[in-house]
Amino acid sequence: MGQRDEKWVRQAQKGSKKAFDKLVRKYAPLIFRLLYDMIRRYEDAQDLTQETFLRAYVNIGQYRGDAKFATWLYRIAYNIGIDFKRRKSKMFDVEFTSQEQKLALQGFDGSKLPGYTGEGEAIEAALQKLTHPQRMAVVLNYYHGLRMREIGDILGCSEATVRTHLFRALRRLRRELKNYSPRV
Amino acid sequence: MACKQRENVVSFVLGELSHQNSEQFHEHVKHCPECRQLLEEFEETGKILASRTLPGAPDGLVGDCLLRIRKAGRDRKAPKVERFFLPRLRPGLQWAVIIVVFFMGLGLGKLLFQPPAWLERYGRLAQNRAAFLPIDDNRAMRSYLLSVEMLLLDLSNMDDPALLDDDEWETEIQITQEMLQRTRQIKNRLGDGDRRLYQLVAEIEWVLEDVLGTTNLDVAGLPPDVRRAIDDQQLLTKIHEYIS
Repeated sequence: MGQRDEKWVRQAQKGSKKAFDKLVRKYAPLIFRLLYDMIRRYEDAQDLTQETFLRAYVNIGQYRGDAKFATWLYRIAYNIGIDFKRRKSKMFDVEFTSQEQKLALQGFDGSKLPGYTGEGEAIEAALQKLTHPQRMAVVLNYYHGLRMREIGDILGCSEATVRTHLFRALRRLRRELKNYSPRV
Repeated sequence: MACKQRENVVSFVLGELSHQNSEQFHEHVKHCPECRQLLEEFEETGKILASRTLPGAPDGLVGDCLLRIRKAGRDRKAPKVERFFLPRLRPGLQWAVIIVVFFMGLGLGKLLFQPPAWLERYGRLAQNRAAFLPIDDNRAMRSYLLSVEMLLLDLSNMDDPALLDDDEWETEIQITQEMLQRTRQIKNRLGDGDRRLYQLVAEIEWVLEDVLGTTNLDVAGLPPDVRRAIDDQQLLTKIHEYIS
């Protein structure tokens, strides 16, 4: 899979639009989910996904293959998501200490999401109680299958720090979800 | 007191420990209740997280991304012109091209400002030919008039035919013939240009025709009536005025 990515990237760097299209088709849903988990706004996540690929397209020549293409792309998306959060925080001029307040202010309604069943609200609530790096570490590991080193590259911290984030996140989630039993 | 290895629980659960470390930690867990409890909790939490319903991507997401990239690609001015003139080469090759072009420029400059002998010879030939052709060139015209002036002065100063050799006279006649031919060429090329200059060249033509038409090649020297014609028309004065 990685080799195919590298081949497409090399072709895209030489100007092949088809090769870049393949990368978009493969990674767009994943990038959307990451951005949605970061900002919790469906339409904005869509817009920022487009922004991510546009930036990747413009800067594809700068990708040197030091890290996996996916890691490079996730890092772009993560930075775009962070910038968006900063802009929004300034716009609302509110210190978002409560995630519920923040979601209410931003008009978040989880029931509008595709695939919404209402069963996962407890998990969503528990995830929102984590700090931002903890939540990102969990999301990137559990839902995107990235390893700690790759998560460290994206978040801009060491592998040991990522392990600490995950350790604390899992303990916190365990406390929050003590009485939760998944319906299988 | 917390177990020093408890942070390894995360690595173990997420499969980030090496095979050897994994086996060691597995052994450790058997004897460490704290780590064992954490391991059970984390595995349970992992199952819960796995049951989370992930938001589906919007239907037109990929299409929207591609459209936006296409639009940006159209808006962005691609450096096509630059690539047209200077194709994308490896940096080493680019330098090689620059150096070659530089030395080619040097060579061309040397050729122009310090031409080799063969080129100079060719240049002289071209210059001689040009004396007949560019009538509108003041330098060429001046050169022609100076030659005419010299010829006419020579002819009018031959006041004593007895002193001339036959060979010398034949040479003068030959020069006069060449000058007449040149004069006719110049007159034809002048056309409707400078009327005053045209008139002057026409007068020179008549005089040269007189010189050749009335000359008895057997008798050296210019007949007195022709010499008088040169003086009467004040041709030399006109030529001198034009040159100066």
